Amino acid sequence: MSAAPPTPPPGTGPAAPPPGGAGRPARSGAPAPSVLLAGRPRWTTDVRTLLALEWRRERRAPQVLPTMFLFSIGVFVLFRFGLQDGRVEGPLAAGVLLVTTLLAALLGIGRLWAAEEEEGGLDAFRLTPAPASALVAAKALALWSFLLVLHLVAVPAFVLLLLQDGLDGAAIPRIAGALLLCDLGIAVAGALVGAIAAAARSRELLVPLMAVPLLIPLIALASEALAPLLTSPREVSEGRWWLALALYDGVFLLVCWAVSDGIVED
Amino acid sequence: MPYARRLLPLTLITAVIVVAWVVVSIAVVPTDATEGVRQKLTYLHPAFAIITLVAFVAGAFFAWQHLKHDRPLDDLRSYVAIHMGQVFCLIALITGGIWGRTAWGVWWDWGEPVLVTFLIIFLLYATYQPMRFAIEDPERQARTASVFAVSAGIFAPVCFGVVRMTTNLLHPQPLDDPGSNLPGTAGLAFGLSVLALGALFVTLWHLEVVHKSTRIRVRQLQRKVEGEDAVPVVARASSPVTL
Repeated sequence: MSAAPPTPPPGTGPAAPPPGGAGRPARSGAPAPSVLLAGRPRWTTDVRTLLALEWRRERRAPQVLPTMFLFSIGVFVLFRFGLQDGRVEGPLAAGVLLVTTLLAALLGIGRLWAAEEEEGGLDAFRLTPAPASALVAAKALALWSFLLVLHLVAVPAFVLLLLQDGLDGAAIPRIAGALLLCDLGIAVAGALVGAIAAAARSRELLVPLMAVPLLIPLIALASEALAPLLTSPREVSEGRWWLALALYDGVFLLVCWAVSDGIVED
Repeated sequence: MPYARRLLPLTLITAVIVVAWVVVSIAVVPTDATEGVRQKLTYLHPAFAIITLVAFVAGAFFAWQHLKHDRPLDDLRSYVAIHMGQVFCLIALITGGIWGRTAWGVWWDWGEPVLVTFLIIFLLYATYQPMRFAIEDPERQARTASVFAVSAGIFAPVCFGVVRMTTNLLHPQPLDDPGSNLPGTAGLAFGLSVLALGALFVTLWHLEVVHKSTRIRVRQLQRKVEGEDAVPVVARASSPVTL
């Protein structure tokens, strides 16, 4: 069999720009009415602008947050009945809280890139000189902030409905810290999964299929970190789980940054 | 197609290594006094598991090359590595189940983290094809698949690390545990099993890359000669189409 060098298909360049680099070249000579188009703003400014856009979109037509709130409360009530009015503590409590968070997050992940795909937001973004990593970072930060807001409501509801002896006041900062790290991991991996699924026809089906296996280690680590704090009397949470949680978040942050151009490029 | 010339020597080398592996495992290594024939699975199951992870990491590497250089051939290499990895992963799960049945009395133990981790990785990669072929635009399909392959390829070793860290292991660790180091000819058979399945993986990977790239080229030529409608779009459901 003869060997011939592959011919690139029409429309593909010889080399892609560096991942998460200083900025993709502008694809259009359009005028610059916003901060994304005006000159070459800093990366953080791009992220801030895009994050504000996400929140403005959520404020104008609330979709993600109310859905996640209602779903979480519904699941807690379901557990209340499922456990036959039983209350939980320790690993079981951590599992119920974290799995509920994960399932609620799946709803948010499914909608995270919807506007970009359905309303041409991605095409509009491609016309700006903003780096792809700014959009992915803004998506992850938006989901992270949604999850943190969710926990402001869901955790008190969980304590009220399901936790055996209530929360130890001294444990609250540590619980908040563990949830902060867990939510960051869900947000970063979720932004990635949402972007992958957004390009597909059956995105609603693909999001849980891809996100659940990816997030199992995160839930396992967060459960190990949270379980001692939800036990009565409170036990000591080992530092290695926190470190591993931070490492998991760090790895996915790096992956997100590295592949961001592949997500956004046309 | 650039691989076609290497296929014959590669196949011959693989055949020699595979024969050596089979002969050493069956005829040379004595049957274990306590474990019996079951112990022979040590020369099959772990090697499949090791090569599976190598295949997924190789898939991630080629996907990264695709994202970096935008060469369609890298996407095909990544696709084939992952596809082969899925087959090896399934065989590792099945042979692991057989070993579990003979050693522990159960086909599957949900409390065993290594098994569950392997299943998680298998399930994650099982979404690769549905995800890939749910995207119609071939170039976007290739790019999104590469993003997935890089993410999953990094996730697989991380997942193993985390699970080993969080739970006590029941699964034997022949390479880590000094007490269960394989002696003499058994160690040789184990090394040969990894080498033979590694060579088998590389050969099959080459074969599939050559086969698919040839098929893509033939279709391209057919379209040129007979017109764009000569080859049905349904062909897209079986493999990457850009090269």
